[in-house]
Amino acid sequence: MKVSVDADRCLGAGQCVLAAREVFDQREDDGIVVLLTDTPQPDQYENVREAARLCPALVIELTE
Amino acid sequence: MSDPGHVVVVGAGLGGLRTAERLRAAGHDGPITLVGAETHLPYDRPPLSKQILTGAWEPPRTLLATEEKLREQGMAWRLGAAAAGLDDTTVTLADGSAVRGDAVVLATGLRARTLGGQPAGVHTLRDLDDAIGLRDALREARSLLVLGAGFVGAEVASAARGLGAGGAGLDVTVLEALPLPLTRVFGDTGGALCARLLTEAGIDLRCNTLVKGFEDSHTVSLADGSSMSADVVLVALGGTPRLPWIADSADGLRCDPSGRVLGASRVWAVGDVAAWECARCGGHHRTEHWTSAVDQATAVAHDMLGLPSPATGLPYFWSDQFGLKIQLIGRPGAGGQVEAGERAELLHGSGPDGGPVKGTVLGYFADGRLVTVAAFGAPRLLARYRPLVTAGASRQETFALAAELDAA
Repeated sequence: MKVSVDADRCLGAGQCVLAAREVFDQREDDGIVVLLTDTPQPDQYENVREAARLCPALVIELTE
Repeated sequence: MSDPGHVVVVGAGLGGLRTAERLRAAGHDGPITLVGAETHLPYDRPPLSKQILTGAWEPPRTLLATEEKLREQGMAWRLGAAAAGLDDTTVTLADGSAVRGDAVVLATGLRARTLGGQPAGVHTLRDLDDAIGLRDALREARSLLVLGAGFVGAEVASAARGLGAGGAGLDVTVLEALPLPLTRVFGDTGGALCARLLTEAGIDLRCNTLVKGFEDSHTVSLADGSSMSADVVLVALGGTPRLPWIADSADGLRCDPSGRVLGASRVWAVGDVAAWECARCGGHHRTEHWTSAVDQATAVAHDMLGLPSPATGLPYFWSDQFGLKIQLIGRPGAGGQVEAGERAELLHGSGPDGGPVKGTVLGYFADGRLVTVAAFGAPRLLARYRPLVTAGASRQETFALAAELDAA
């Protein structure tokens, strides 16, 4: 799985961090998404899909 | 799955575009036509009061879709075509032509509120063209006067403080009719924090100040008999639904909990114009939030196709100003207001005690349950409260998390 994010469109809602803490973080000031890894471990796939589904701005793109 | 036939989406902003996209994603393969009053392709509005004004973004960066992307999804579109009327499921346009559909989604959004006798040279900010006009005016200006200390007013004030020759910032004055800004959203405690963000940035915030009228496009007269002038004057007093065929549209279109417009057949409404029935209180309120438009778009697409309604997320909105993000999750009372008796309690930081605004997190309880959390420059803390607001956590659970996060 390959993960990419469009930080321009990120709202800083933090849904992705709650869903997949090992893959996503937020910048301290504005909460904009920080991608910790673009190639998560297989045991994270389900969480990452959940993060992409929950993102209100649809900025998480997955290539599987 | 049912087939809605030709779907005409009136309004090519976020709510309209997302409804069309969600229809496609959920399996509708019939015709979809997007009708937009503006000449621009669908674009995102939040950057208009931020990145566009500062010049950090050029306008094309706000686009939510390209022609190619719309074409790929099999959508037709008509831009520069303002809706003037609705007859059944036929939309009439300002130029006299009509678009006939089998189902209609109304997503026309708001037009900026103006004051009586407002001269043409006074700015409002709602559309991309407004933002470009305001940006250009601010570049030439040394002073800005903003009427209204809401989110848009504060964001523009923030942007203007960062402009000006040599980065000195414009002289900015903000007039607010109420004793504090945004108390209907944050209550008095949060409203006082919003006020501090303005004043600590060197802005002259004048609350309890009523505007009587305009002397010219640079000068307003106040209720106390005095007047104020600035190079640029912005009226930032919210908006009213853009529904020209309805005489009194201020309250929006009353809809059932699936977004079907009451009293009409095969007509739905989403976004700022839509007053959906509130599942909690049974009343009808418009909700002017970005994420609400997105949630409603998904719900309407599913309802049109006869699919089960998706779970909606927690209400969420944000504002970027003065180098930090203000965020709120949950329901700030009916119609977006803090309810009487609902008091903000401090979860993190020390803003209400005179400490820095940044890092302050407030929790709002109703009947002992956490219903809302507001954060001032603390996005990572805010996210941690999502599950608690969703579950309606007790005070004990809420303050236990606060202590745990403070210790971490």
